[in-house]
Amino acid sequence: MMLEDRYLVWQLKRSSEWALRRIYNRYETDLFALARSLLGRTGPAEDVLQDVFVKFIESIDRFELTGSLKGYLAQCVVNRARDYLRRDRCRAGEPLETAQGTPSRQHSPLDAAIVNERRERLIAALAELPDEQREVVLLHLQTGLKFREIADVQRVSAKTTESRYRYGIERLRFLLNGQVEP
Amino acid sequence: MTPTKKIEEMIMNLREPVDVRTRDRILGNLLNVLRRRKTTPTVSQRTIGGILGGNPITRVAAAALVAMVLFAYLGMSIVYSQSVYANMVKALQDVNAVHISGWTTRICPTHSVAGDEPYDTSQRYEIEIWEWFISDGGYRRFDRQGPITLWDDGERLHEHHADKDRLFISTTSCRARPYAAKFRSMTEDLDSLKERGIKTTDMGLRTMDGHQAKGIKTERGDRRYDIWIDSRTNLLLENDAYTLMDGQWRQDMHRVIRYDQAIPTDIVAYVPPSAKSVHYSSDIDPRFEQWNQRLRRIAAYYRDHPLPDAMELLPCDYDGGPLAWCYAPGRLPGITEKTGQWVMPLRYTLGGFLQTEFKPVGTLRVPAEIAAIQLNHDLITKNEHSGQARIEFVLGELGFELGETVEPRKVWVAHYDGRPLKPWRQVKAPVPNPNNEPLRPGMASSTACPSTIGDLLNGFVFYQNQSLAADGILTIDETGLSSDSPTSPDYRSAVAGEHPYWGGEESIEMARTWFLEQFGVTFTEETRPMTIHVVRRRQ
Repeated sequence: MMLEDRYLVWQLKRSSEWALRRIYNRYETDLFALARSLLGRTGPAEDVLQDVFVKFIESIDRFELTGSLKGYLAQCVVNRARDYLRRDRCRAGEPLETAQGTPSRQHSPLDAAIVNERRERLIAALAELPDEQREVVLLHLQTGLKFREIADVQRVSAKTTESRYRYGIERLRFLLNGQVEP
Repeated sequence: MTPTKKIEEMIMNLREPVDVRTRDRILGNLLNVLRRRKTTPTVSQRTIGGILGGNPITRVAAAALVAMVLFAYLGMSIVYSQSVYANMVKALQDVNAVHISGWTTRICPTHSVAGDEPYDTSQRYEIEIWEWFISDGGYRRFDRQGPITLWDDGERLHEHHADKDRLFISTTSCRARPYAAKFRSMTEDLDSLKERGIKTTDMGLRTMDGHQAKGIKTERGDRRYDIWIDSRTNLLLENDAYTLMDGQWRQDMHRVIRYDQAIPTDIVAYVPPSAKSVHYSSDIDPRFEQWNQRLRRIAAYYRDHPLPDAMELLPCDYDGGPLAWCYAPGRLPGITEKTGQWVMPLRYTLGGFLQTEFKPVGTLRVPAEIAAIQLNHDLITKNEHSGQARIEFVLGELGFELGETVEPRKVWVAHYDGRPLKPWRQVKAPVPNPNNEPLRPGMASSTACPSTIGDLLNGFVFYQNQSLAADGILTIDETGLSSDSPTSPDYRSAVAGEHPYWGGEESIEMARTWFLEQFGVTFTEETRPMTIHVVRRRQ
C-alpha cells in the first residue's frame, strides 16, 4: 500500500487525473465516515472531505509522503473538522439533516427507529468525549489506522495514543451504560 | 456496562457512503482544481535543507537564524492583530445595530438538500445585512446575500432560498447565547484578526465618510483581508477579502459596515415569504407536536397502570388523520429509559400495517373488508418482539388470526448470464426524478442505498402485490448473486444504488428490461406450489 501511495502521489504531482481518482476512491469512504462522526452531520462532512482534498491537491508540489497517506489525510480531516466546529459555534442556525443517509433496506419502521436511536445515542456519546480521545477512537475504528500510525500523524507517542483510546472507550462504556444491548 | 467489543462494533457501523451525486460533484470539483493547477506553472520550492547546504554546523546556525527571524516576525504580527481584535470587540460592546452592505462571490447557505449545486463563484451577489438588539435585549438579524435570506426573529431562524422557493426554519441558537463579537455577521471580519500566525501589514490612513481610518492587511495562507478601522472608535468600517488563486489575489468580498443607523421599517417588519417547500428542524416541526403530546399522555397512563408483559394495543384518544410522519415509533418519557418500551403508532388501515410488517412479501392474503379496517391505535411493544409477533398480536386483539394454505402461484425464476456487473453506485433507476415528483413506475423509491439483487427482486414483488390478494408475481432468486447484507467499506454484495418503484401493470415489462440491461438477469415464468398466509376471523 505504501509503495502504491508513493506512486500515486508521484503521479498526482504530475497532475494525473487518474491518480486523483484512485486516491479519492480509495480513501473517500473512510475519510467521510471520520468527518461524519466528528461533525455529526452529513453536509459539513462533505464540505470537509472536499476541502481536505482541495488543499491536498493545491499543496501537492510541496508534499512529501513520509508515512501513511491515509493517516495523513485522516489527520487533515480531523484538523479541518476541528476548525469547522470552532467556526460553527459562531454560525447561526441549527442544521437540518436533509440528506437521507443510507435508507433502511426494507426494515420495518420500528427496526429503523431503533437503529436510528442507537446511532443518535452513540453520536451524542462520542460528542461528549474530549477531542483527543474522540479523534483517536474514530481514527482507529473508522479509518482502521494503527496506534503507531495515529501517533505518527498526531506527533505523540504510541503509548499516549493507546491510553487515549482506552480512556475514550471506557468513557463511552460509561455514557452508553444500559442503553445498548450487549 | 456495555461491552467494549459492542461499542467498537457500533462505531465501525456508523459508516455510511457518500451520496452518489455528492460524490460525483466532489470528484468533479477536485478534477477542476487539478486541471486549473495544470494550467499554472508550478514553482519548484527548495527545502530549507536544500538552501542551506550539507554542512551540519552551517545548517544548525542558519536554521536558528531563520527560526529567530520567523519568530520575531510572527510574534510582532500576532500581538498587533490580536490587539486590534481586542479593541474592536470592546468597541462593539457599545454598539446596538450594525448595517453591512457590499457584495460577495461566495454564497454558502447553512442548509441544502441532496443534489444542490454550489453557487457560481464567478458572479457577485449583493449583501444587505442588518443586525440589532431591541429594547428588551432581544436579538434580530436580517441577512440577505444573493438569493439567500436569513431572518432571525429572536425565536426562530428562517433561511429562505429564493432561487429554489425553499424555506428552512429552526430554533435560533442566539437566544441567551451572545458571543464575544456580539454580532454574528461580523464573525469572518473578526476571525481574520484573532487567529494565530497572521501576517499583518500597515496600509496607512485614509478618510472614509468623514472618519479617519487606518488600514491593515492580514494574510494567512491563501486568504487575505484588507480592513479599514475607524481611528477614533476602533470600529471596522470596510473589509475586502481576497483568495489566492493561480498565484493571483482575487477579490471575493467587499463589505462596508456602519453602526447604529436607523433600521428601515421594512426590515424591522420583515416576514419570511411562504415557500413551495418548508423544512422544519425536528424540535419545532408542528407535525410532531400532536404526537409528542400523545406520547406524554401514554407515559402518564403507565404511571398508574402496569406495563404489559408482552405488548398492548391502546386505542388512540384523538383522531389526527393520516399522520404519515408518525410512522416513526416514539418513546415514553420517564419509562423507555428503564424498560425499553416503544410506542408504534398505527394510524392506517389494517392492510397497510400488515403489508409493511409481513414477510415474505407477496404471500399474504387479506380479504378486502378486513384490509380496509381503519386503525387508530398505539402499539406498546419492545425491541425484542419481531414483526411477525407484532402482526399476530394486533390481529389477535382485533379478533383475527393467520392461517396457511398451499396454492399454485405464477413465479418468475431469475437467472444471471454471468456478465461483469457495473459498480453499484452507477446503477440507477430507469426513470430519473430530479424534482422529487410523485413516484411513477421506474422512478427511484430510495437513493444512495446499496442494494443486493435479492433486495431488488423483493422490491419488485412488494410493489406487484399491493392488493394483498396474494395473486401478483413472485420471484425466486436463482441468480447465484450474493444477497448478503452489503457492508462498508466496499458494499461487496451491492449491485445497485437505487431501488426503483415497480407499482402497476405498466411496470412489469420495464422491470424485465431493466434487470436484463443492468445485470444480465432474465426471468423464466413457472407455476409452483407456494404457501399463502391468509388473515381470517378467529375460529
